[in-house]
This record gives sequence, C-alpha cells and structure tokens, in this order.
Amino acid sequence: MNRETLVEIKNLSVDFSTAKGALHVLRDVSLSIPRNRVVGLVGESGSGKSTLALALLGLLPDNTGEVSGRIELDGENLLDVPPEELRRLRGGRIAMIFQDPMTSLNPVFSIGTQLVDAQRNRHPQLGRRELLKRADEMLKRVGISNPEARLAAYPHQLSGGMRQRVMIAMALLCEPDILIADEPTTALDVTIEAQIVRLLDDLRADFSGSIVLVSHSLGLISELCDEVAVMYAGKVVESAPTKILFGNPRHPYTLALLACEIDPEDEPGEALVTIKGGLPDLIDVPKGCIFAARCPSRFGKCVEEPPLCEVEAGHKSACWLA
Amino acid sequence: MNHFWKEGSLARYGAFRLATAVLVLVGSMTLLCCLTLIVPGDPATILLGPRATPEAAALLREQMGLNLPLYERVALFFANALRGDLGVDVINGRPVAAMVFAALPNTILLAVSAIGLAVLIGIPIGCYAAVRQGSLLDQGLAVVSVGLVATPSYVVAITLLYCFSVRLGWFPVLGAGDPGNFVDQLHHLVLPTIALAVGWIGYIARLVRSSLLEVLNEPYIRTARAYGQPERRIVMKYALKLACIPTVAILGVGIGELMGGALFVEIIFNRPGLGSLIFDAIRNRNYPIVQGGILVVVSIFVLVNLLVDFSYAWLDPRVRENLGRAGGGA
Repeated sequence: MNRETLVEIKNLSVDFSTAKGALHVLRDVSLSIPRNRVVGLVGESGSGKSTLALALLGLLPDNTGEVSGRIELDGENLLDVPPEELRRLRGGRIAMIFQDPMTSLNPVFSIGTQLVDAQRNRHPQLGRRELLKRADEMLKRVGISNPEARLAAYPHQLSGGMRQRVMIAMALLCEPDILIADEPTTALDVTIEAQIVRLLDDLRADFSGSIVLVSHSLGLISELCDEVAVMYAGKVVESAPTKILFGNPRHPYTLALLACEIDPEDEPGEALVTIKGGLPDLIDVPKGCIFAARCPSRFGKCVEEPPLCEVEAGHKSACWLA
Repeated sequence: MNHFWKEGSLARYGAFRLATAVLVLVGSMTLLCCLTLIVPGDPATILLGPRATPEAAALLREQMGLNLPLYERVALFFANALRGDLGVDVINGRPVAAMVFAALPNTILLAVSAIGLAVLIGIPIGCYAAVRQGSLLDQGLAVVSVGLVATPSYVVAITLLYCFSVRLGWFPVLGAGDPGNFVDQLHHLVLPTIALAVGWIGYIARLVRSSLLEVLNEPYIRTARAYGQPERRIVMKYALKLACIPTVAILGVGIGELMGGALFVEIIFNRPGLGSLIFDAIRNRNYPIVQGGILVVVSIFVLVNLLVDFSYAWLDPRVRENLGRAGGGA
C-alpha cells in the first residue's frame, strides 16, 4: 500500500490567552495523516493532543490566541477557510467522537433527533424519514439492539457504553474522510472499554476514511493504529509506524512512556514506574530540548532544541541521541 | 394497572400533584380564617359603626359565622365553596362568587398580557445578549435590567400614568374601558400591562441570557458544533430548550408576585379587578369577599404552578421520569 497524505499539518502553533500570558499549547507541530489509515496521538495530559484534534475540526476554544502554520486537507489550508465553509466541512468531511459520552449528547432531545441533525451537512437533500432510516441501520451496525426503540429514547435512558456507540454511529453516519476520536474509551468501565475497542477495530475494516485516535493509552494505540505520533508539551517528539515505534523507540520520552505501562508480570508491591518531574511551563517555555529537565540521558547538547528528524524511513524523532 | 398509570407517566405524576394542590388550598384557607381572629378590628363593629347596639353586632357576627369555632368555619366555607357558594357580601348582600368572577377576567387579562409581553420581549433580548456577549445591547441590558427589576410596579405605574396619560394624553387615565368596546379596553390595558411587565422583561432577559450562556458551554453543544450544525439551530433549538427551564420555573413562582403587583397597578389605574376588590374588602373587614377572592387567587397560583411543573416535565424528559418515580414531590 502506498502512503497517500490526506491531511498535512505544517508548523502548527496555537496559543491560548490566559491571565498570566500566552500559553503555548502547540508549538511548531508537523504531522501528516495518510489516507485510510489510523493515526494515534499519544501523550500525557496537557501534551496538546486534544487541542490538535480540535484544531483539525476548526473548533479551538474561545480563549485561543495566535494560531500559525497550516492544516492542509487535500492541499487546502483549513486555517484560511471561511467559518461558514468550515462549518460545512464539519459533519461532512470531518467528524469527531468525544471523550465523555455521558455529557456529549443533548439531554432533552431524543437520540433519533440528534442523529438526524448530525447528518444534515452530509445529506442535505434527504428528509427526516430517510435520515432516521439511515440512523436505524447504523445503530444496528454499531451493535445496538432494538434500534427503533433507542432512536425514540433520550440519552439518560442509555448506558455509557451504549451512548458511546451512539456517538460512534453519529460519526460514521457522516461518512467522513477523517474521523477524530478523542479518548473514546477513557470515560468508560474497563469491560465496556474492551467492547468499544473491539467495535472500533471491527469498524476500521469497512470504514473508508482516515482515523485520528487521541489517547494516553499505549495499549489502545498499539492495538488500533497504523502510525503513532508521540506528543510532549505541545510538540511532536517522535512519530513512526506503530510496529517500528514500539519495537525501536528512539526518543527518551517514548521510552519512558513505555516503561510506565503496567506490566502484569511485575511482582505485586513493586513500585510503579513514573516519569520524574512535571510538564514544563508552557507560558515561559524553557530553551533547548523540551524534555531535557526530565530526561535521564541528557547531555551538553540538550541546551539546543533538537529538530524532528527522520532517523530511518518513516520514523522521526526529536532527540540529539536518535 | 394499564399503561396510563405506569411509573413515570405524566398521568400518575399529575394525580400526585393534584393531591398536593388540594392540600395547599385547604391549608391556605385555614390560615386565612385564623387571620380573621388575629387582625385587629371586629368586623361587626367596623361595619355597623361605633354606635351599633351589642345585639345588632352579635346578630351580624352570627350571620358571618364568626361565633363558630375555627374548624367549623373552615369546613363550612369549603362545603359551600364546593357548591359554588362563596357567601354573600356583608354590606350589600350580593353573592361573593358573582363579584369575584366579574372582577376576575380583568385581572387575568392584565396578568396574562403582562407575562406575555415580558416573555415576548425578554426571551429574544436574552438570546441576543447571550449570542452577542459584550455587545452594546448586552452591556446596556446589564445596567437597565437591574434598575428595572428593583423598581416596584407601582412606581413604574405612577410614572407611566403621569407621563403618558396626564402629560401627553396618549392613554386613558383610569378604568378598564367600555365593556362592549374591545379597542377601548385594549387602549386601557396598555399602560397597566407595561407597568406590570417592565420588571419582568429585565428579569427574564437576564435569566435567559445567563442560562443560555451556561448551556452553550456544555459538551453537547460542542458536539452539535462538531457536526457543523448552523449556529441558529444550535442556539434556538438545542440550547434554548434547556435554557428555558429555569425561566419557566421562575415564572411559576413569580405568578404570586405578579398577582401582588397587579393589585397595586389596579389600584393606581383604578381598574376593576381582583386586586382592587380584595383591597377594598380588607379595608371594610368584608371577610366573605376577602376569603372568596383569596381562594380564587390561591387557586390560580396553584394551577399555574401545576402548569409550570408539567411544562418542566414536558421540556425535560429526565424530570418526567424522576417525578413520576418519586410520586410527586417537587
């Protein structure tokens, strides 16, 4: 399979204005999302992965300050697209699954109404009856039994796992070119999480678009993704096809993340591995390598910022040692 | 049990609410009868004047039922009320029910038009202020509404009366207008309606604005945005329905205050109505009219609150179920 780029993010920087000054949430992020593949964005809380997802959707929060760089969808820079056109892209070419299914659905409208309205951008020519029929079929596909009754139900009458299935159905109904899933299983019970992961894995096969899966769980990423980008403090520090990244990680942060995963063969009582220190200040960003302060293998050169360089085919890392 | 009475059904909820409504009515009428004991001034002596013979006063007290024990008076009152008999006016002997129901339409017209005006103007202003947060209208509303809410309706009434009736002569000064002439009645209704509605316009606008802003920050609104729904649909359909819930609740509670406000407005504009009827009756210790009038006011209050609770349940499916399950409450 040759790798054809669908979305190309080039040098994207996003600031949030805060009372203390500009918060540099994303700094010079470059990433390419290939067509028909699943790309994982992994990193700890505050690494900017959710902001990157929202930027793709053109839904950055109100307190967003300066935004620079490019997000190219088939060559067109989404940052230049007028708001009204961008709105049509959402729910048309781009769709999103949110983290918390408990709050992502409107409590006072039926599932059917919400699924119908979500499709209107994609199928403006279809009436409510047809859209409901599509919703009915899609609910069946995401494993919801008795879809007719569910369409008439309100969100509070459904369990968390069921609601996340509804959210997935909503996204798939839009037949998007790019589907963004922001921590789709984080808010769910472990057993439900496994079901949703299986569902996503099943759907991946006959879904024709690209998927961006945002997660802090390396396990989930390794299971579902073709490629992975590791983010730290607003930067992509390493990116590679999944097998390569997990087999041959080249950035100390990726290594540290892998070490943090709980190994079931560890003796009980053995201390959990953590990365010492905390995220750097994103208002007054320290000079040099962003991970240097927490890095076990830092050396003299780390006072300079390492660029994200290709270390082998398709594998990039931002470390002087890589 | 058929499905009509199943758990969570509106019918079941309604039955419980009706039962509480009856309790409220009985309770308030009992309290009212107690008040006739506490309020200074014996009705008989006030009505007959200071030079009435003790025999005449005793006779009148007996006619008014004031010599009966409290529980008997309450029971008698309700027994009669259920038959549609609210007693007779002590002064001229006319049936109270007829007097109250003659005055009622005027008051209802005033209250409904005031609430209608407040909702019709308040909700769009609130929406606009929320969507154009920080705009001139939004900032102006913040200042003006606080002032309007704090101004009692009778002050507004007097000011309007002075400016538009006395000075400019655009509107009639007193009365409710010629009963047969609809246009004349409307003309008489304008100023009292505005006087009563002004505070509510500001209040509702502020309320809608703040609850709309709150709702617009909810994750499910972000979902609607993420699916590219037009902003108008997001605000007017997805957000407004939720933002209206607190407004409806406030309206229900506010009916009592509105009735109180209507009383002042009726007195100032010398409009016939429940307010002025009860006000005059209290001055004369004409208890049957006070009781009958208050019974009707309380009934309206209870009824409106019932309606509000139902619309609450109608707006929010979660409430519908919880209330049905809890068997009333609220």
